[in-house]
Amino acid sequence: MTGGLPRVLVAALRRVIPQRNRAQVLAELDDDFRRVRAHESGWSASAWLCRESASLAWAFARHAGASTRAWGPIWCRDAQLVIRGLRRAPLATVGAAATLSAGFLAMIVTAGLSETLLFRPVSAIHGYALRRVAAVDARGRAGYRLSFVELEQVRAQLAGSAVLAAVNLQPVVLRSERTDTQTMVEVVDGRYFDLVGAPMVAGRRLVSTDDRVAAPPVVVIGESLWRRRFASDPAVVGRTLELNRSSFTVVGVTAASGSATALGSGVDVWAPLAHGDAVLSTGWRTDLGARWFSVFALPSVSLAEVDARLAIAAAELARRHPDAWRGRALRTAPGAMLTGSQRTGMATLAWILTVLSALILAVGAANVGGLLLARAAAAERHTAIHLSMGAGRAAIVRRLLCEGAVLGWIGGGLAVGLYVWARRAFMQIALLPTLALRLDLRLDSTVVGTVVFVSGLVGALLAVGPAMWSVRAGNAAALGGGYARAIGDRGVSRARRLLMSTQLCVSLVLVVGAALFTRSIGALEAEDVGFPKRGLVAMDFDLEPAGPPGRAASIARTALGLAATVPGVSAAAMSNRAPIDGSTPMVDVRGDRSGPVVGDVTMYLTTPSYFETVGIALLAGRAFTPEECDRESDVVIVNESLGRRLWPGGSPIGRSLVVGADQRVVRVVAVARDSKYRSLADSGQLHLYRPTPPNFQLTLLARTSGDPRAALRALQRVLDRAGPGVVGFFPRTLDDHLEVELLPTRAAARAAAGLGSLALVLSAVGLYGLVSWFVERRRREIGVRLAIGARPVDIVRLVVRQTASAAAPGLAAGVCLAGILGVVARSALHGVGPLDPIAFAAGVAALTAVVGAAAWLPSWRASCVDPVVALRDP
Amino acid sequence: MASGPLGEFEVLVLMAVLHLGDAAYPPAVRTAIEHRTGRPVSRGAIYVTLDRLESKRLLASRLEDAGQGVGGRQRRFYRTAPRGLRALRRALSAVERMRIGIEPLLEES
Repeated sequence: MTGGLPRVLVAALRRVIPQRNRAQVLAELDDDFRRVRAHESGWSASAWLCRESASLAWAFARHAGASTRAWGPIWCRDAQLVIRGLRRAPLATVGAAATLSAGFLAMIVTAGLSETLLFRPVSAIHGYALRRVAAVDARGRAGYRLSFVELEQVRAQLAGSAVLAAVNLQPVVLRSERTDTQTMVEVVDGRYFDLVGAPMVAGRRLVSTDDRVAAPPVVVIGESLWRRRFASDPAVVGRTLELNRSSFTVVGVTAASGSATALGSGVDVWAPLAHGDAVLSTGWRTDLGARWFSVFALPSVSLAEVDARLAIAAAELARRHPDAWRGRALRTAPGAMLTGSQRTGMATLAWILTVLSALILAVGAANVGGLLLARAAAAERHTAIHLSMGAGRAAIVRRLLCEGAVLGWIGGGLAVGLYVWARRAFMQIALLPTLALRLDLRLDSTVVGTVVFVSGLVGALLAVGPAMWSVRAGNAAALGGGYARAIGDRGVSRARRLLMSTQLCVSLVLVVGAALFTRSIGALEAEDVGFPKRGLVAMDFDLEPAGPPGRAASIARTALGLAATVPGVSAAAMSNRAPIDGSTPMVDVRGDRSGPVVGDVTMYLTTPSYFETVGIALLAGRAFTPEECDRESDVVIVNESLGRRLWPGGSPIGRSLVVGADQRVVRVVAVARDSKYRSLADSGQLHLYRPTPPNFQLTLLARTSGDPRAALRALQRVLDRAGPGVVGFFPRTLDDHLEVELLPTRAAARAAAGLGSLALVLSAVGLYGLVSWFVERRRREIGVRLAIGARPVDIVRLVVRQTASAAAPGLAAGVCLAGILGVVARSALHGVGPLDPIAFAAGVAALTAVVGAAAWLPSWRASCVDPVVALRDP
Repeated sequence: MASGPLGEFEVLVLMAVLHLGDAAYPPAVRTAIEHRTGRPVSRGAIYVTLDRLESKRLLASRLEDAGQGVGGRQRRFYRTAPRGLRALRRALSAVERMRIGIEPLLEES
């Protein structure tokens, strides 16, 4: 009769629906469920069934009267008893709830980050129906940026099959109220806002009619810029601002504070593609290599058809541009923010964070479990009396489960409050002076509802063990105090020792991890990079599209000349990368045309005074002359390692070298001292330097003698004078620059240190609770010891010694686990071994101090016990 | 059981049973109310209200074979008892009397 309904549900409903209606109600529910399931998805049908069953259960339970009237008061009475009991021990309650909340908070933040980074679709309206367009090369690697030429081909093929939106993130100089600032702009086409669905605070979105060359130039600004620069003035709509000195009228303010398509990129302005000339480099419409556009498609036909049309577009591109498009294909991909290796990296990070959060939750849960056990043990006599007077076991278990759930909810409530605070903090994170990360973590009824449900469930589950123990010990206590105490103490003591060992183990792993990463950072910072770091500054610069392109070379030369004359600057040069940059290009070289290929040789293109500016010593030979740089002569400077590798035992000076895919033969004119090129962890990296004239694709470097920040400001002013349209970007000292390099290690150290400190505090609280409980259970024994002549110091020694013996297994397990994890994470450490004795000693010392401190206070209290009072206690 | 004044939902259920005639069984009553009032009605509320009205002797029920398509199961059909008709008449006339004099206000709003 009820073949479609789950058995569990039928059994539950049978308990509440009266006999008279039961068969009919269940049959009709079954009929309707089958009908719904035939037309709707599994999830939707299940949700329908849950809703209808809940309605039936609620209505019949209310109608049943007596039993329902009894249920409510019983639970209410239990809740009242629990709250009264918890209020009697406010410190223990708040402490336990706070430790639990730390775990919940870690889990919610991790879930929020994972959702933001991995699962949130780009479009708030269309979700994953909005797809990315990806270009796949012959090796199967997907790229998610297209040039305008490619975009137009895709647009032509997908006309009528999908709505397209393209977006391009670019730096720009924004002028308003006579103030210039560098910021990021997204150049978008007319359908972008419709597809992505950014909410508006004031005015209107950009629409298709704005994306026409004849349309007046308009922009939408972000809420962050609106608040910062325009003091949230609603009259900003209609005002004019300049992007790279082209005027635009503001038509709206969007609530979006960052890019919907690039991780953490703060964006202040959105401009229509039709007016992209003001923002994008010259030639963006025709340059096939200018792959800057992320392209999104909302299909109106099947995905297979869209992919088929993209295949035609790829074939057409291959016909028109055979060199660039041979073997390449186009396809759609999920419309998530992160793609490719970025997504893989973040998924790994999310896993690590999840494991760490679970560990923190486990430590917090251990504390709450300990508290519940202690409370159950304290109420042992009470429980025994209840049982002997005929109270059911169910009532005892129910009250303890209620207690666990209430503690869980208090912890969950605290966690949600802290999450609201953490959410604001995440919105403000500035990882580096040059890199702001705006992560909008989700906060809605689903998050709050999930926390409420999970926290209540975790609390209740934690209470299951103590509840079972309580019933068993209560029964035994009814038989006789001594026997009960023996049973009770043995079980509780074992459980609590296990919890404590877990806490100490996890805490030690985190503290040792923090020490290893901190020492790793110290080792990296102390690393000899091959030149003096202090006083070196760098700045990227560019010529605006509006600037005179024909004079670009002479303006770049003028800018370099002016930079060298800035007060406080002793030398200036240009290079394709600032020193120690992970994106430094690599080439293959050969000692001669028939010699073996030496791969992965890093290469800098430099102007004449590079070595003087950076401070790298030339061990033999001479620097590039200005003429060699201007003509890009066939000369090269190699570093010591490359010289030794190609000509072991001989001098490289005057030797020939074949460089790169174009087999260019160059002559070695000098040998430079080894330095760091891609990373601080470089060791013996092969490297060469080639000459280049000054140009706008290079980074400006300057050696300063005074305050480097003042020198950077002066350089910025000098660039303004260099010529029309010169813009400086991302001014930074080398220390700022190296922060990028140190970021992963520093983030790992901070996370481990933060979580380690948290785990230490949680362990201290748990340990303190455990020792206090032990001491309380042994009051009579301590009283007897004092009565027969033990000194207070003997009692302290006894308790501390027993605590230390209980803590030892946890610490030993922690040392082993930390060693194993250290070996696994060896590649993330620099200059320090995975079994570094100092880090391990520091971790063990910190944990020992915590154990000592947590044991001392209860033991001191125990030593103050009055023997007469203790012996009089039952 | 003494039948006091009818609640709003009880009035709707009684009227739906009258509308449905011989075909008044719980899902049909629910559908009729939802279609005519445009408001959602919970499954449980229908069963419980029909039970309550029957226990007040305002409705009478009979078990009948449901017929084809539902597996030959028996189904409980309801009809309005004379007491039910009188109670409904009283409830509606009370509403009518309360309405007199406030028509202009109702029309304005």
